[in-house]
Amino acid sequence: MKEVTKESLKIAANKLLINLNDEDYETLLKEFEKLTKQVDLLTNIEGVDNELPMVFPFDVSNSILREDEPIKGIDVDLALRNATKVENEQFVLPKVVK
Amino acid sequence: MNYLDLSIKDIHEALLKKEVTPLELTLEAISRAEKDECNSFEYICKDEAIEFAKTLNDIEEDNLLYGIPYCIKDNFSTKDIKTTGSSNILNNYVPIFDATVVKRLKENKCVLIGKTTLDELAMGGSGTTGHRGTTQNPFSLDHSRLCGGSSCGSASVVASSIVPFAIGSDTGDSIRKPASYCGLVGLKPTWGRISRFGLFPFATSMDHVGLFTRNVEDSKIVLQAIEGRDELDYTSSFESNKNYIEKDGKGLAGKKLVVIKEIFESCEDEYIKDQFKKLLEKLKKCGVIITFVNFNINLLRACFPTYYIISCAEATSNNANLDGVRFGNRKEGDTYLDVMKNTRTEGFGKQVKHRFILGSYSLLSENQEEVFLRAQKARSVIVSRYNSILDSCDAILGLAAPTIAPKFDKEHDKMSDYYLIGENHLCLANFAGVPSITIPMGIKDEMPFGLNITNSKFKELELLDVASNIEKITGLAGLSAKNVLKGE
Repeated sequence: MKEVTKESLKIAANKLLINLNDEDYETLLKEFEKLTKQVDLLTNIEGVDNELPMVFPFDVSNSILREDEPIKGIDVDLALRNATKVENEQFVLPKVVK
Repeated sequence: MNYLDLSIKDIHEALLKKEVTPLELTLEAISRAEKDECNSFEYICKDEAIEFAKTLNDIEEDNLLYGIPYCIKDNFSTKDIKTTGSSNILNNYVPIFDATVVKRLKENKCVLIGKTTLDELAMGGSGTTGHRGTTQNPFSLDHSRLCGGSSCGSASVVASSIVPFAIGSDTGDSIRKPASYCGLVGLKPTWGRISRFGLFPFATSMDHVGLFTRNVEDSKIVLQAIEGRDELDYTSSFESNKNYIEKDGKGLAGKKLVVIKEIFESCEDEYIKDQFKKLLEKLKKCGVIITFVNFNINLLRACFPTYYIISCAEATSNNANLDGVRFGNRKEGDTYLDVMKNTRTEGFGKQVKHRFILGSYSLLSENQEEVFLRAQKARSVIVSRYNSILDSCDAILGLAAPTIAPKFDKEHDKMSDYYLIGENHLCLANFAGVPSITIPMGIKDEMPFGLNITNSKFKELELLDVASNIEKITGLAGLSAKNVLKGE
């Protein structure tokens, strides 16, 4: 596994929309030192890179079409019930163009 | 009143004879829940439970679960009942629907007593990372030992005899390891056997719904009620439902059971190993053919990093919707991105954030081949080896955990076989999606330890049959903190 740097962790955090402080990065870099050694254990598996990635435990054939009958969706008031800010049946966020 | 200490069948008998009513059972369960000292509850559903129990006046003779109180891990959606996943980001979240497992238990007239604590969003194995703090092991009088996780509260409430059964989820070992530490039966059936609709997803390719009970027969009863196809879960299986309860097993004679040598050897506790060997001798006397098999040490050592990478990567995607916009504990900001960032930064605990960072890091384009895809490929090799062993036998036996429940401050060498294999091998059954059960095997220093039994996919009938028969040999059906600490 490549060397893990604070910069690469920052990219990962940014993609997650999470802010971390310097102390978090220090802790993470220490954790990654151990993790890197563990991840390197994967290279000890003979022929691992020739395998196909396993996405699910086993094949599940569930592609079925249901009857073409209308289904009632979620009521608007229920869908909005857990939102902090709602106006005119819509979720409210800060304006993009001010 | 001690009816809650009994098996589900015995409680049912008492209900039929009108020795006790569902309302009395409910009030007793709530009373015990309110006295809980292990931090097992996110929420005790007192009013809801009493209101529902008052409607249960016509005991159904053929419904063993009628009026039986139960608890569920707080990562299952419960309509109109707050559900937090033990995370601050969902502190005020009230689902608008029931998870399928909750719906089915309600249809069976089970009474929900409480929502139980977990490691935050089910990401952890200690029961220490939820927003309500540490959940303690009911067997540990001085509260110095952990329950294991992530289904810590569900394990604790069954071990404390607050309820006869509880529902949990298991992505790496989150039911079967706490079951070992808390002296319980912990069952995770085949991936797809129980609907996951309404379960907060952690790692979709490995998440399972499962259950805790104090004996194997109770597991059969609960599994029968909640299993089966659900069109709301696209991974739900079409496998036919089974009659687990009336199945008359053929006994253990002639069964081929395998022990994976490296897993057994990774345990450093000589007492536990000795008890395991003694159990094997007893099984041999019953006509069981026991074989020790080498798995491949490199594959076993790779299990934990494989699990960790895949689960963290899937978790980043599954939890991307927790941004405070449509639901959750929103934190304001100047822009919509600030709202999301502030919500996620303040809402998630440290350990969850760290797992997300690993997941995100492994998915970065420059790392994906070397980290994430390699882990998925490793899983493929590991499962292939595991299934080849399962195909050659009736079940695999092993130690569910290499120790009794550890103390809270215990640290491990993260590169040792003890840690990589002994502590983390149960994820094999999640990789392969096969059914796996932990049952109590023995007691050391008044703390229980468990045996794990695993077999091939959709063979729960056979698995539960083997477990029932071994339970008769161990004589530990009905174990609870109360009867061990009282020396009963």
